[in-house]
Amino acid sequence: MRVLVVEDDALLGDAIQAGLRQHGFVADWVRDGAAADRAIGDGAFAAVVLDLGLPRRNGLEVLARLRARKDAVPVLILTARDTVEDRIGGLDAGADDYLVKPFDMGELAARLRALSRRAAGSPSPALRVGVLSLDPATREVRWRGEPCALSRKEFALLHAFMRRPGAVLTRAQLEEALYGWGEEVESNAVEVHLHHLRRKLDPGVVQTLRGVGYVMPRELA
Amino acid sequence: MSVRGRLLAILLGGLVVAWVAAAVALAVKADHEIEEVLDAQLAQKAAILALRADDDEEAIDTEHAPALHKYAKRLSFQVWKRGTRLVLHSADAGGERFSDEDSGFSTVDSGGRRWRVFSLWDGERKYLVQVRDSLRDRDHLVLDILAALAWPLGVALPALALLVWVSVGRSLRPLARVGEEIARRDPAYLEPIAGEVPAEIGPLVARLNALLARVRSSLDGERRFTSDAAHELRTPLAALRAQLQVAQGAGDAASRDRAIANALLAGDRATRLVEQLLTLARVEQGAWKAAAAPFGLRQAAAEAISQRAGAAAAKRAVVSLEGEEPATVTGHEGLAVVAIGNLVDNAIRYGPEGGAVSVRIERSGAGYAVRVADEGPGIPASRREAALRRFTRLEGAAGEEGSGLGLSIVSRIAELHGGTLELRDGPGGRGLEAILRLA
Repeated sequence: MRVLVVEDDALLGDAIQAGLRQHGFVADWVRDGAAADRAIGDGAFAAVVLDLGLPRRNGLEVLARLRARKDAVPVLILTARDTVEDRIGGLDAGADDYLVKPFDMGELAARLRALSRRAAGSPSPALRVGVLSLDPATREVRWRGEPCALSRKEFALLHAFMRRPGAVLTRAQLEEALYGWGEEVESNAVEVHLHHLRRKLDPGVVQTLRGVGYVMPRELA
Repeated sequence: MSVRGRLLAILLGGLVVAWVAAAVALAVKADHEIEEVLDAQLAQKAAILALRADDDEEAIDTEHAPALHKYAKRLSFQVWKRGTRLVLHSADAGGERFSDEDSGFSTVDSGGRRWRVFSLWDGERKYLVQVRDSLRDRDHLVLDILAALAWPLGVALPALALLVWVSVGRSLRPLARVGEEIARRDPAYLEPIAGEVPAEIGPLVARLNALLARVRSSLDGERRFTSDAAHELRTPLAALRAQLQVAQGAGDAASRDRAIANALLAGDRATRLVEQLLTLARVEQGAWKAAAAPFGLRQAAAEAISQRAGAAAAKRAVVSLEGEEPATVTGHEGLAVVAIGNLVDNAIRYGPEGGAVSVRIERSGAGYAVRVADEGPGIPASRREAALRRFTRLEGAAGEEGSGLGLSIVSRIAELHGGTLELRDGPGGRGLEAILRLA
């Protein structure tokens, strides 16, 4: 799951990025409002962590602009402002969640998972497609009730498919879900990880539509 | 003394004095008038007696004159034939001649009393008529008049006192109300005093309200600042905590070490912010406590620079000081050292490795200016005003994270000295030059 961190403070931004990576996220980090605007415009993120006191364009403005573009990406405001009015202002401006500094990294990760789950319309923390289940919090994957050990990239890939079963995902979309900025994208990485998934789970878990993309069937049996 | 008591004393005292003065004037006048009237009465009576004695000696009542009026009794008379034989007299006249004088008015003592006597010969100088009345009775007359004046005073004085007491009390009630309203107030409640007040205390209440407004706005400023400061501290603390959690969850030694080093940096940031906040608090306090005194700006700059020697050495910055000496200005030397120190600090921090920091003291108007120039990236003209505000951190400050307070502290110190802080391009358009002007 790929998230965008918008935070102007170097030490904090660095920590959030590193912490979220430890929790299995792909995290990208920008330091000002204008850069945040551009990055969110790419549409590659499952959630945005947004600081409010930003140079160039403040957080609420970034939020207002992205909502004005009808972008529904879940946004979590991360700020030092903790009054009820501030929270109300942030949520009313279009934020989905609000976390006050200082915060716990585990809580931030959990809230981001909850946001993406809700955005996918799933009430349960675990994603389920037929006999396949995936819990983003525990990073546990089960096939017919049997736990399967997956690498980080394999997990991220499976997560991307399970959030939208039945939808065709292009190779570029999958690469975006797997890699943050500055990370070298290995050629045919998607195919390699898919090959591993099919071997560990079931050959039919993801189908290739040649020249179009890849799709996970709505029903897996 | 209360307003009420004072008014009462003044009004009643004044009234009594006025009254006594009126009574004295009246007594003197009445005394004089009564003397004139009664003297005339004596003379008239004597004239009538003289006429009657001449007409018919025997027809005159030898025993007593009829008491037609209570005052008529006061008058006694004697008729002396040839001035030697008493032929006629009133009942209380006695056998002694009233007065040795035989013409006009005289005043005599007789029988322990003072008398006013009028003597008159008839036309043929056959009978001497003497009429007298008692001076003590005359005094009683005056006293009667004065007594008549006294009783209204006796009634009016307490009535007036009551009136003053009540009406002053009523007039002062709004003052008491305002007092009660202030007494009831919570120290944090600084709304203006509302309601109708008399014109006399209107200015007082207006000034009080103006003071309340000033206190409120300065308190608001303090509150805003405290809240801003607390929030500013949260970011380095959040970074500290997050970096430590990253260190906890790090899979390898290198990333753990990196996170711990970052946590230390975040701790330093928080410490620096707290130090700057304390400096700002001391700036406000120092300006209140110590009196302004003349000091040498050059000496203050030297002190500030030597305090930064360590930081300069760490960055191999070359700091130079030149210009006027001693450049005496009036103010707080300690604060000037803080201000110049902050400017030098910024110049070293944002200047390049091994860059030059030049500090120049020169005349400026009636006072002196300290110009601190660096070779750093400078501040775009559009951001200079914002840079002086509290908690403004400028973007793109090449990895350096200030507290956002340094320049606002310098600006405040300039303000306390009636001076200014100006930011402009450095010499030759390179870097930043900060100009601190002190009177």
